[in-house]
Amino acid sequence: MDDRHANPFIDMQRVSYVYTPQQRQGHGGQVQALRDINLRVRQGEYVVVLGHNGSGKSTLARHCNALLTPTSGRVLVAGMDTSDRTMQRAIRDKVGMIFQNPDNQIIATVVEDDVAWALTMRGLPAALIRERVEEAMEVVGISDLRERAPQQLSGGQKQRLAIAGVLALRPQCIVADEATAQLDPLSRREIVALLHKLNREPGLTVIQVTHLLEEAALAERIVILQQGQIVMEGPPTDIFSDLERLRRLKLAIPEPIELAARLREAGLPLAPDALTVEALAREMAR
Amino acid sequence: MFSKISLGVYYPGNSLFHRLQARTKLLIMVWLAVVVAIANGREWHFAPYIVVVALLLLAIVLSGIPPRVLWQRLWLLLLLTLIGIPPAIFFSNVGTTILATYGPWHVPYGTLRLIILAASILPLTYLLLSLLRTARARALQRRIWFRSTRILVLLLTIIALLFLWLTRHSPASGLQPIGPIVLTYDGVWYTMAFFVAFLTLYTFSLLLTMTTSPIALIEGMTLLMTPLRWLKLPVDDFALMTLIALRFVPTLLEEAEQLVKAQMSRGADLTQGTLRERLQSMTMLFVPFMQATFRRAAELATALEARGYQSEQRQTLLHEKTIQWSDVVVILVVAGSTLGALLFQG
Amino acid sequence: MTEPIITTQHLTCIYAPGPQQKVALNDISLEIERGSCTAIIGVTGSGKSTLVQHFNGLLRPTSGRVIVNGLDTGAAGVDLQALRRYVGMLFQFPEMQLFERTVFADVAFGPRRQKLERREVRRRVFHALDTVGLPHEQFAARSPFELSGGQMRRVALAGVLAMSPSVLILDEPTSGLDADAREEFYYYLQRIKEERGVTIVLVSHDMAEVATLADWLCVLHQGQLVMQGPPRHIFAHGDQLRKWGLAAPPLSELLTLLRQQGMTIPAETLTLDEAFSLLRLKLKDRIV
Repeated sequence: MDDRHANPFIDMQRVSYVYTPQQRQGHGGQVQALRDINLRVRQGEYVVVLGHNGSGKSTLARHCNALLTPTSGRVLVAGMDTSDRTMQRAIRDKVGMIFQNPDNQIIATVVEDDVAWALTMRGLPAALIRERVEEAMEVVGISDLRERAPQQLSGGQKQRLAIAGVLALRPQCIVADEATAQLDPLSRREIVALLHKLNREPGLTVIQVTHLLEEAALAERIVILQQGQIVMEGPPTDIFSDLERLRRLKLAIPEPIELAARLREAGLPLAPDALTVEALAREMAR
Repeated sequence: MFSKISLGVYYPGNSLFHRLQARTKLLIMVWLAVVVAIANGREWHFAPYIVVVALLLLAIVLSGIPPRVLWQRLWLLLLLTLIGIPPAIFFSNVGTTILATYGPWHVPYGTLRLIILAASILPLTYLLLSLLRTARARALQRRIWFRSTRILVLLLTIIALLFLWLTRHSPASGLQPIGPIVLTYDGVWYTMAFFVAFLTLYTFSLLLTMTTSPIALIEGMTLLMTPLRWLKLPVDDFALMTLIALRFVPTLLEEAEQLVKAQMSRGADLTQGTLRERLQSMTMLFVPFMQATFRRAAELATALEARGYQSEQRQTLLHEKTIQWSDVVVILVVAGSTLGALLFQG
Repeated sequence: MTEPIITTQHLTCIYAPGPQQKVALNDISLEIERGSCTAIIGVTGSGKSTLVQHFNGLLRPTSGRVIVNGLDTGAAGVDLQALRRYVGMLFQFPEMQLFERTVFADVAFGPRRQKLERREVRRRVFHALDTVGLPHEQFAARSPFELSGGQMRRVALAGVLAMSPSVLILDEPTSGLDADAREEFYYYLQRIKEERGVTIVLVSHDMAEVATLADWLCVLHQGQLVMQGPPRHIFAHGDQLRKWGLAAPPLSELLTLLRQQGMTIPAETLTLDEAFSLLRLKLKDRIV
């Protein structure tokens, strides 16, 4: 038996979560955001969590780094229970997170300082900090922006900065909570490409939360949520083969995928794993 | 658009002054303020002031900042100060040695009333223009300068009417005394001392902010406040709050500007309309802005938590280093020269 | 051929003139036809928001002219309030500007400022709410803050609509909305265009979004108008668009790739149906 299966990096066991009325700020009574979720994420896996707004995907993401703890069930991160307060720091060292609003996660007045911030908070020696900061900025490609102020950066650059800040802690996993939602199309692709690069080398586990189907094409596994429950799970090839179900789940089908599906229906043999525009073009032009 | 203008006045450079530690510069500033305060109490004792001004000039030279740049930031204040000196000198009647006396001048009430009557043409025309309904009058009423002088005109009219009413019993030939203006020995000293102190300290603080990055300043202050940490005061949290404020002010300005434009597009106008409408316009700006800021703060708090923030953590400081030789020398020079000047009894 | 509703002639906008100036817009001349739906496309910083803020008088040109319905917005003594009633504008994340206690009160703000009588204000508010798919019987008395994000956004839209503008400018109207809410929003926007004959100007950095609704695209890059034309025409220039930081819709990119790999595909195909018919024909010998 594969050792990775035996000890998943993130293990969510029968997790349920209920938002209390005061958390919802008067938007109604209690809401069951997650119902009996069972999810195992292996080390080095690239998982995309899909769902429309309100499906519980962000709530799920926040259980991965102990920002939220389940109302019932438990979450184990590298064997540590997230409800154990003494382990919270250690868990957050292993699982880093970037958020939807690029601005509201940058804390320093200068790019370099922001990448270093989490490290300074831990009281590490200055020389070590400098080294890690250089490394992180190099990997995400913002070394030449080091002296800039946050307001001079574009949305895509801000998200790269956020990723660098997470990387400086040398985590094992990075969770992107709708990190591309407020970016323009090219920046979105850039960030997704960066996440894939980090997944390949240095082998980070990536959990990407999104409502865009096209960002899931290169995932290892897709998990789809609706009303707090996992309704579909599997590799992209399986998921994309049932477009009708995806439509019912209120997910927008990208036009090239739709086109390919129609052509397949009309009898044209296209490889089922051709899910990106490039792959489809190659298949069609064969 | 506002946010594109850099908030600080930091002027990058590598001069000796730039390389001094932030806490050294802060300590010097506080020390100079103390010296000046002490010197202010002693009459006609020029030595401390000469020394302080000399140190200031030395600092300017050492900082490598072109005088032109400094002048750009100082000229307005300098102008206002120079305008303020004469009235201050003439109206501070301190002490007993009188240097000179001017006036009092006596003006007959009749003449005053005539002057006021003649000048009343201005508010009357203003009133007329405000009430007319022709197209050209309307266009004029919309001009911003027209609306903002309304208050001034109203104020002057009230003062004039008040004067006329209060002096209504005085005969036309009665005399209204104006003045006298007395110039005293001590008055001159205190005024001059105060202004010199004010200007030098201001220039020095300008130099400080121009040669020290905001972060270094915060770190410097944090280090200087170490004794407060022993008293269990939240020094590190304070430093973090200052940092967040510095970081977000440009972003918040941009958001506020955006909000103003959005509400203006809906018809909100702070300068026109009834009082009720204007209050409503203020609510339209205030309420959404506060809500947006709270939402932003909540999101930031979550992000900080995710990055492992814990209250009252001893942070590694990246910008302030250990005390160098240059710091020690500078401190000794400043302390030595100022103390010497204070003790000098020539 | 009627006069265009908005025209710009050599419009230039410079912030902070002097040594540190920023040229936000550089010599832009364009026309917006009455009743059309025009999309202004560009990345953040390309000047697209600056451009449309000249249309309702929020900004004045540094040089050049902006003419709205025959009126020069830069002329002295222009009635800005009237201009802003004629050209309504919805900024990004408009739900952030809601401030009143009831939906009715917030939507009524604009008409009340116009000094209309109460009956007329009610009529306008109810009509606006109905048009955006928030039936007034259900929504007028509710607090805007207990609605969903998409609904709050439509309340803001109703607020602008209640002023009966002839031009409606929307800056990134669907940012932050998911697929469903987005489709809904565009559905109601289309209805507004048809029922009221309003000229629509969309500002966005996402071309795929505006593809269905817009009949004319203007592409901005670093303050300059670099390309304009019908969507089909613009989408065919994928490589050029990428240089400007923009991406053509995925379908157009697929067709461009096929073209590059030797297939003859006319540069004008745009819709999914058209592409399907074409490809089914071209690849019919591979069909089993």
